[in-house]
Amino acid sequence: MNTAAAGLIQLKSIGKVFITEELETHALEDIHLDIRKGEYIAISGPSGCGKSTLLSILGLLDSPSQGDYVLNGKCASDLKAAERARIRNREIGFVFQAFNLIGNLTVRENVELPLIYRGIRSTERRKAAEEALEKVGMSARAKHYPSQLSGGQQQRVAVARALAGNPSVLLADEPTGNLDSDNGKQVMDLLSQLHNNGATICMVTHDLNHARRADRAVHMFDGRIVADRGPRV
Amino acid sequence: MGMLIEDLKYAVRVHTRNVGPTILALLTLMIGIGAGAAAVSVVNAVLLEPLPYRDPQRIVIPWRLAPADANLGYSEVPWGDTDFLHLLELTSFDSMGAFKSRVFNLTGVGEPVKLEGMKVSAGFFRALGLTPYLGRAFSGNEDREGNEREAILSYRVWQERFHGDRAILGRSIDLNGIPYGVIGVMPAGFAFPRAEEMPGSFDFPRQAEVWVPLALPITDKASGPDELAVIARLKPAVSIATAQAEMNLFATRMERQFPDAKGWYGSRVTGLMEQATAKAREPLLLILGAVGVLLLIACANVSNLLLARSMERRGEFALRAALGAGKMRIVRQILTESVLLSVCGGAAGAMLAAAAIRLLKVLGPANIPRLQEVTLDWRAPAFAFAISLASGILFGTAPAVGALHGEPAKSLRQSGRGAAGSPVGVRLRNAFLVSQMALALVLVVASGLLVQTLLRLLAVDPGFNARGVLTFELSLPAAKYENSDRIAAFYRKTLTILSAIPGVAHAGIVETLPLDGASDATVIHIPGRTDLPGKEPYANYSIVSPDYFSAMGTPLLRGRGFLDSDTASSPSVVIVNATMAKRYWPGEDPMGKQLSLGNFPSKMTILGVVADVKHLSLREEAGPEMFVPYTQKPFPSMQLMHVVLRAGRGLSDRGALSLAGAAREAIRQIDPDVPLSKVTTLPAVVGDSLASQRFSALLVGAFGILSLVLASIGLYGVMSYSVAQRTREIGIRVALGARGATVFAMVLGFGGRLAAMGILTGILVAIGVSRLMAGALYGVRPTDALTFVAAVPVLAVAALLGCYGPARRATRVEPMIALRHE
Repeated sequence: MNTAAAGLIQLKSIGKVFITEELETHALEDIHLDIRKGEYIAISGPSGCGKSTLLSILGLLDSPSQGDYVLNGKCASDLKAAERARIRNREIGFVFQAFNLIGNLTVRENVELPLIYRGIRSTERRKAAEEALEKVGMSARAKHYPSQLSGGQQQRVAVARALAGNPSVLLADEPTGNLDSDNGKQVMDLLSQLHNNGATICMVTHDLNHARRADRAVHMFDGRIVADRGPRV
Repeated sequence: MGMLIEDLKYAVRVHTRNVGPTILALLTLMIGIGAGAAAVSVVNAVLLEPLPYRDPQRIVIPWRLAPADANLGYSEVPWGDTDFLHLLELTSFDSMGAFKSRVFNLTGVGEPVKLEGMKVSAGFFRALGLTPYLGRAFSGNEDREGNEREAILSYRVWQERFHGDRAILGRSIDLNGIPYGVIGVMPAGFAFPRAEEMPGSFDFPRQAEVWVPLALPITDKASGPDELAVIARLKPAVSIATAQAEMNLFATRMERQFPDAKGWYGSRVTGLMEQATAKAREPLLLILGAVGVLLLIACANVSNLLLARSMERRGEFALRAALGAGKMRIVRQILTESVLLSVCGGAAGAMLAAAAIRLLKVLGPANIPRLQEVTLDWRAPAFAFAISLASGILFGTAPAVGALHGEPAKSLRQSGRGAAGSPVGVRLRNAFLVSQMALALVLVVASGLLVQTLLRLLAVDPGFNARGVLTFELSLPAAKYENSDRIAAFYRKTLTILSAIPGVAHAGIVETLPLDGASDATVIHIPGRTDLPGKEPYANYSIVSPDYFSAMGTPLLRGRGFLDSDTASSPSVVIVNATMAKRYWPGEDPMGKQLSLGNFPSKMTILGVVADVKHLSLREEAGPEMFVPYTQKPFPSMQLMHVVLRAGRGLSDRGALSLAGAAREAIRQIDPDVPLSKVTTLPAVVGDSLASQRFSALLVGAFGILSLVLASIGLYGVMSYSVAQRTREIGIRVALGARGATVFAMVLGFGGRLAAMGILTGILVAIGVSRLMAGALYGVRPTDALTFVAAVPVLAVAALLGCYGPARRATRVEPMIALRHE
């Protein structure tokens, strides 16, 4: 497969069905999506439209019920849990709505966490974490605990954690959902800045204003992509 | 009432909805309350229950003590006849009786049967404050020589041999071929003295079945060997200390009157209750301590489980408060749940205790007195139930009360954040867990030390080879075997026939079987040696047959054994043990040395040295002992002898036991009036001597295992709770790339840290506690490093088992959880 031609991420006819005791719910149906390296894409839609499910499949947190997922030229649809964890750790950086920092670890330890799972030595980890914190302007708070930071600061630390491992793509799930407008704007500025520096970002948001800051907007409804606007290379 | 029923219904629903923790809590309560109740019931019945006599606190036993430097291997020695007559003059006592054991053959009532019996003076029953169930006790009249042909029977013999016939009074029965008139029947269950309550140096029966008058001759000259024990009732308001002081004055007076016996009138006045419980106290207190530790672990476990459940329900409590429920209403609900759990656990515990007591009666050693009379004491489960209820209420309600402080909205928000758990609650739970692990380690160390003690005792060389040896007791009717020559002739014929039984390699007889009691002790005289009065050399002595040492497998270290040619017409010979040789002829060759017994002028020549043999227990340091051949020196005391038959090569202990039938038939043919009793193997005798140690090791070991189970359950509970609390965090870690093995190791590491803290704390506690059990140990120090080191992996495995389930569960946490919004 030609990676450059096919893009960083390729979703082909992806579907996801949740089966409960009596109900079969089609969360995603026939999703086709290509994301190229350096792209900043916003996925939006109303609650329950399947955008978070799509993000979880993109982030290898979940597997599709059908279709193919190719990440960086490798098929990632039917990987075992350990391999998915390895790819998640090396290729994907997550920014969650609820920040998801671990309360009993310091800011720097939180940022180092994915690098620990990658088996990187402590001196290198420390250096990478400091660089990532520098990028988000949180170096001065490296020894603080999450509870000592504001929501905006916590989300910037979360971004630093996502960046520390130098992933192929940054997946952001409603990154401003738990923030006030000022802090939300700062985080969005940070993502734009990272994009301008070459990062590939895929963001889920229901806020159209934030979606407009991306250079490509995908709109979902009832588990399908109903609109895909923006510059295509 | 309606609200209470509603509360109960809801409590049942809460417990059944979350059935895992409920089962764990019930199991914990059952084990804790059950073991606690069983142990307290036993201790209460054996150590605390008053003896069934009138004013039992006034009953004492004035023991005669051997001088400390006599080195007999025991301290209590018998009083002589004249000593007792002098003791009767003391003023501290209301009444005083002497007693000694005797074996009787009851004939003329069905098959001849050997009855363990006692010869007692009239004061014996007065001192005990006990009257017979039927008839009367002995009066002063029967106590006089010539009037002693009267007997009192045990309830059991009366029932079994005479079918409870009340016309037994006045009836004549034959004891050892002599007619005795029955004057009374003792109450059911009466048993004094009991062998297990008395010093091993006195050969008292476990259950006396007949009592006859002692009828001592009233004379100032000793009429036979010292054989008496004495029981007395203190006058009202006279203390044991006062009686002891009078006994000390008595000793001074007697030593002045009998200077040759200087040092041999020392005494110790012991309360009967203390005497009756002395041997059982240490093992039972040890077991009680172990149960106490187990109960603490159980309480910590229940507290932990309830604390976890209550913390999980903080949101529910806050919601109830927001909906208008008063604090007391909510607290009452939680109390109902705690009480319900404790009642169910208590009921299950009481059933377990009843079963455990039944099991104890079967497995318990015979030397724990009154064990067969133990019943479940309702106070014991009530006490354990109260403790578990209190801890349940305290730790079940505290988090709820905490949740109800402040604004309901705040509590609701906090509860909605996944109840990371209040730091105090988490620390408390961890502290409980660390305590549990520490206490479990203490029990594991204790059981390890006891098992080591047992193993080392089993490895002790008893001075004989027990394997493949059958033993039984022969009791010759006194009327038929009235003189020594006749007795000797009987044994000569018996040994000849027994030796000829196919499968018998060696046959021997001995007065006192090793590990079955002390042999008699006597002063000896060694030519050329001058000793101060009271400092004369002493030795235990035993009468044996020539082939006895071969039958026992006792190594002959020097010289030769006895021969059939060692008779009354040949030079007197004696064999001594290694300790006697070393003590009385240090640095010399004992072979050919001479000695004489007590007041007997005839000298005996040492012709051999045998290995030391254990008599009272495997722990004892052997004292000086000598053996004389029955062929040369038959004594009337040989009316009661033990036979030992060594099976030929290839015959196991069971094979040895199979010789019993042929032996019984042989004895019946020689004399049908001679009953054969106490048929057993020598390994069984050795095993009996270790019954108490085995029992302690078994019980404390069982408690150690239970404590491990409880600690494992406790760790499981804490880790399950912790994993539940950290589900989101684990999900985030997995989302960031943590693999299953990493998560597994993380959870295991957390549990491991708690377990390690518990183990370290436990080691420190065990170092202190194990010193308290030094008296129960043999050949192993209380701080034995090997035991402590070996306990650590045992605890580690228990911790691993407790952590494994929650750690596995943690690996199954979906990373998707990281995307879920709170």
